[in-house]
Amino acid sequence: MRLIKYSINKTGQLILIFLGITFLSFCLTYLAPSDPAEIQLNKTGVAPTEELLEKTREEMGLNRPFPVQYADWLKGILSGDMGTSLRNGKPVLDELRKALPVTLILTFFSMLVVTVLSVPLGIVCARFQDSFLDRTVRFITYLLASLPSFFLALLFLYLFSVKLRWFPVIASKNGSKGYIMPVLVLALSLSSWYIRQVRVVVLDELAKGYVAGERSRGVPEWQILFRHVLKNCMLPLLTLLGISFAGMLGGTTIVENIFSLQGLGKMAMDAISARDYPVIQAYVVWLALIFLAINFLIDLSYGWIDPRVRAGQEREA
Amino acid sequence: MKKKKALIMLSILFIFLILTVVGRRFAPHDPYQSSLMDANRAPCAEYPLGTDNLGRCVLSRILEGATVSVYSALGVVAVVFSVGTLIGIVAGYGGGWLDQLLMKITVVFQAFPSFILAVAIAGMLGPGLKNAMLSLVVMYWTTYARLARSLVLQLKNETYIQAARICGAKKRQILFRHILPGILSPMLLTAVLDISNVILSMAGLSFLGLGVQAPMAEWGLMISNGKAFLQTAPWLILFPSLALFLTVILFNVTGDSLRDALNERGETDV
Repeated sequence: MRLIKYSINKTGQLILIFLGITFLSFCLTYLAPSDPAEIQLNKTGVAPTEELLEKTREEMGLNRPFPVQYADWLKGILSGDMGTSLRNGKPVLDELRKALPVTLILTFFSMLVVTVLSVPLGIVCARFQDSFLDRTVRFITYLLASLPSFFLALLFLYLFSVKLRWFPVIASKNGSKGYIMPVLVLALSLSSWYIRQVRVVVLDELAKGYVAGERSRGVPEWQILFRHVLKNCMLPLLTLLGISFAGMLGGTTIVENIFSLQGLGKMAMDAISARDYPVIQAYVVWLALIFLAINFLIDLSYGWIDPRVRAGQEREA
Repeated sequence: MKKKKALIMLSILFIFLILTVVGRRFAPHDPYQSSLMDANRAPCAEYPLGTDNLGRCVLSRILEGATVSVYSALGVVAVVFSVGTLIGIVAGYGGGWLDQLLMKITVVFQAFPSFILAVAIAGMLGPGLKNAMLSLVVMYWTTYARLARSLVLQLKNETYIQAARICGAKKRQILFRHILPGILSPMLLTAVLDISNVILSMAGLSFLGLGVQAPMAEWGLMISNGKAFLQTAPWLILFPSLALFLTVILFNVTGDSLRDALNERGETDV
């Protein structure tokens, strides 16, 4: 019962942030220097006169009061109507439907690689602090973190497409195999940050009394590390992963454009060069919503992972 | 020891910052002079880092572009630092509904994946250096506002602030004479550590074509242009990337040494 109350509280906060996100995204249109009505007219090849512009604005609903436009737009989003593209007059939703899965696949597998790579490596580095391995990993991650992700992507293209010819230069022509390089690039640039975070979190945990206690009782080291220490580190590690997800989503925009993957980032860049404002709006709203959803799930999972948190949640409610 | 290291790194950084400004004087060629006869030439004695697809000297363009790449990031950090600190102080010291409202606003801004918001804003405004810088300001200001606010909240109840208040010091006096100096050092450290992130974000925006426009020389844009010649002229990507990489490393190492030095003196870790 209390847990339900807690969930309701959380959902309330979520709705507030959702309203904030959509409001800000809606306001973005007002930054645009050109008039959507004018773009609409130019597209059809009609010379825009003041009269025609007024009529088009009327048709597009651009001269209604601001709150009405926002409410209408919000209603549209909730019912899956993201407006029509200024470029080709088709529903933005169609374009989104094509692009969203690509970005989701990209982020999902990158996140998977990051976790599989960073968690064990971070734990081992912490366990053998200041060993040769630890110092090497720290050095490499330091360098990687200073490397722009687009350079890493181009380096991969050069090595594996141009020199070794393992993959064609354009990823989308390559089926599921086309995702390998983009995923690796995204995962590597994020791991450089995440490995260091895992290491620090685990180092703190290793200094605790129960670790020494278990060692003295002869509990096998791998069991201490991967059963008990890892379990106790889950919460901070998950939180950090959630934070890093923002960087990951930002990275998809660059990586998709380099590897020509038709995801949200590529869609956005095409829309930007065509001044297709509703599509840019859809891009920012949807990526923010994905980010929100991920962090909400992580938040909920705390209670499931750690009974102490569950008790806390119940108290809070 | 750590203090000495930080001082050395700061001096190197200072020299580097001067070099980025005067560096263009040492350019062997005019960075905007194109000659199609010399297009895409590999590094040689005449063109130490090769030429691009329009026959422009890559070395000269890197030297020319340094100013934009580095100083636009410094400009962004300076703005978010000032704006964020001001907002944080107002929210933290003022408290009340204004504080609540400002913090709610930062929460909404932080709910966006930061780079995505910058891309969308720069995209809506249209490509260009000014718009790219503005979008980065929107992307970065929240960190400073939140940090400044939390630092002010810590300081607000210190005895010396209370003493100043009891002595009848004006609000402005308390804010700028007593609180501001108290929060300045951790705020500045955050700013220094952030510069490399901003440089990378800026390069990312120009790489996507949202920053400085051709034919201006800028590192991210140069790399983006080189992409089409990846197979035949990899130096077009390599050298500007290297310049970017080394610059970011320099700022990172300096920032880290500064943090170590401050921690040694018992400053609060940020």
